[in-house]
Amino acid sequence: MNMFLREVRTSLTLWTTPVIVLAVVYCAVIALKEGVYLWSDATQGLTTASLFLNPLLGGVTAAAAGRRERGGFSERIAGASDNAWRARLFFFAGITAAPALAGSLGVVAVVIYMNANGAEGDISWIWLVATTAGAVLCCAIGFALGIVFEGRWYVSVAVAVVLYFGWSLLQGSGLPFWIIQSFPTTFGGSNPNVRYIYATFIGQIFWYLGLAVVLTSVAFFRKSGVTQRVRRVTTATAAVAASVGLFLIISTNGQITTGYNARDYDCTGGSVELCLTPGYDRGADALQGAFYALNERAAGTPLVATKLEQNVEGIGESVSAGARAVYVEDLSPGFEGLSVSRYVQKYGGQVNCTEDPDSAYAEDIVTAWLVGEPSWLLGAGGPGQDAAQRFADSDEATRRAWFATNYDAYQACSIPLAVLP
Amino acid sequence: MARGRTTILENIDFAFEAGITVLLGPNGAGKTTLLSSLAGFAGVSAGHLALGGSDIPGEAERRAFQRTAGYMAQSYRPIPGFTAQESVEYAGWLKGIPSKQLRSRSRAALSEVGLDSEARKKVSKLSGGMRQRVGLAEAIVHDPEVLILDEPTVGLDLQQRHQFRAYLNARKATTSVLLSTHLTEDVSTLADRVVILAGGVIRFDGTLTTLNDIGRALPEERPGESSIERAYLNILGGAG
Repeated sequence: MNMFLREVRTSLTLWTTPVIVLAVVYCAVIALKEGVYLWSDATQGLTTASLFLNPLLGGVTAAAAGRRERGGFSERIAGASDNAWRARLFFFAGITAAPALAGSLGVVAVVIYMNANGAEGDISWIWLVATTAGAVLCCAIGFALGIVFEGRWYVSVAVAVVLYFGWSLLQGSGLPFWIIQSFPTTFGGSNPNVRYIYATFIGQIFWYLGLAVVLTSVAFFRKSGVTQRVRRVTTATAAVAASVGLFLIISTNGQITTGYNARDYDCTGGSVELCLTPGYDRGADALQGAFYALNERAAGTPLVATKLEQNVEGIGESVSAGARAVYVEDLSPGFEGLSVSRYVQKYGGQVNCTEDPDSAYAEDIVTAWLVGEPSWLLGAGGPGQDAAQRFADSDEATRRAWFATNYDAYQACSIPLAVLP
Repeated sequence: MARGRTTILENIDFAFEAGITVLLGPNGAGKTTLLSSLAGFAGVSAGHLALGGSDIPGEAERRAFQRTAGYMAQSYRPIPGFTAQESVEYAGWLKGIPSKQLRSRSRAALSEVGLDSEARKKVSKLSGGMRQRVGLAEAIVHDPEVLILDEPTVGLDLQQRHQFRAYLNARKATTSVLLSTHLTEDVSTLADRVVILAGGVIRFDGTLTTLNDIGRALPEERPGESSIERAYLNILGGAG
């Protein structure tokens, strides 16, 4: 233990501790929507930190390993009669201990912050473990290369650059997603309405850690005099674990989440009953107000909203009887207008606008008015400009009466421009 | 024994003896390869070493030998961030000294090389001569039976060399010392036995007295030349 603590104390990675704590906390907090404390957002933020912390760790570890090599480490190990593998292990553990502690401190700080603000949902620990495993692999890459190249200055820079830009290049490469997710950076979107795919995370943990052990084994045993049998058993076991992990990642194509509606809502009363996932209540008043306005314009038509349930992108409509789906985006500024717009597009007649361009244009004019943005189409040019201007100039009572009368035509997307008031 | 495609040592049959054995040879003779190989270092791509009838690369024999051997490299490389005390403790740990004894044994080793007062200083902050002594303390911390020193007097000033030679002469009663050097002065003041290595082959293996006798029997070709130098150059000439 004494030797291990000595390694921690003299490790080059010590200076990264405050950087890591701050980065972890910053990434988690910045991922939160204003006034909304969702663990799904915080978890995503925490994992996002790996995008630049992993390159940092890889680079610093390469520098640390190279620095130690310049101190004749391999020769010392080679001349050792005892503790050869412990010396390597303690050194590697000493390099990774400070970042691990810093990351843990950062997570603890985020947990305290989130709980103090009444966070909703659950932190995805397995995602964090997979992210940590990815960080360990980055350290192992740096460690192995630092030893092999014996402290050449450019190695640490090259490791950091490859780890930073490698992920970005993979993202735009068009390669199968499982290849991208095999890179030691677990990144993905999350929200309260997803279910995590554990097989991918478990696969990543096995893959990252197995590969890390293979790399560190090669580096550990280089010139160390450790017996061939130990080397073979360690490396082979780790290689098998890594292969199992890769197989799991391939089997899920690297997907880490899938759309899922837990149907866990907090509902607000009123003429528009609004049911939102816990944590989104900050947006309830604005959203309700926007739907009150829509209901006034669409009064007397089936477009009037009475019960709305927050729905999940990508899994189709999943609402209880009598309710309609509402998408709240990320409660970003102006989200309520967008929510109403998507509601009108979904339940209005725009889906039927497939044939007549005039009717489609008229449909757009009416939709723009319904969602409270009548100026959207003005000044856009085109044959419907006169009709759009005429519709905008008409009084509100006329438009509402016209809409109630012509709702069926609107729904069927068969409104000649000339019919608009 | 080869490194890469180059054969460095050939048919070396070498026995450790009591006292101080000085290994002489020109640059590239294979001195460092021989010493580092004897100390158990890897880095050779072909060949084998035998010790007492057993191949050293056998794990048990290798470890047993390394427990009894201390090695100091030609150029001491400090472990970044470690103090002298920590470096020597680390070396002791790698030689199997129990944890509870590490502090006292390393203190004793540092004291033996005259570095008591520098124990808590980082090695990287010490002078070149002091670093070499830290390296020596690392080599002796486990009280080896065999001490292998590669050019130990390089980088030492005159006073340090005298102190170092005095130290080795005191130590040789309990330890077999094998050291390489370029300096004939080291030979004359230290050697009980001299081995001359050239081109990867042992050209001479005998006592200092024998080497001196060979030199004295040769005509003086350069003014001020010692008998050891004459003998050495003659042997190298014969080799070439």
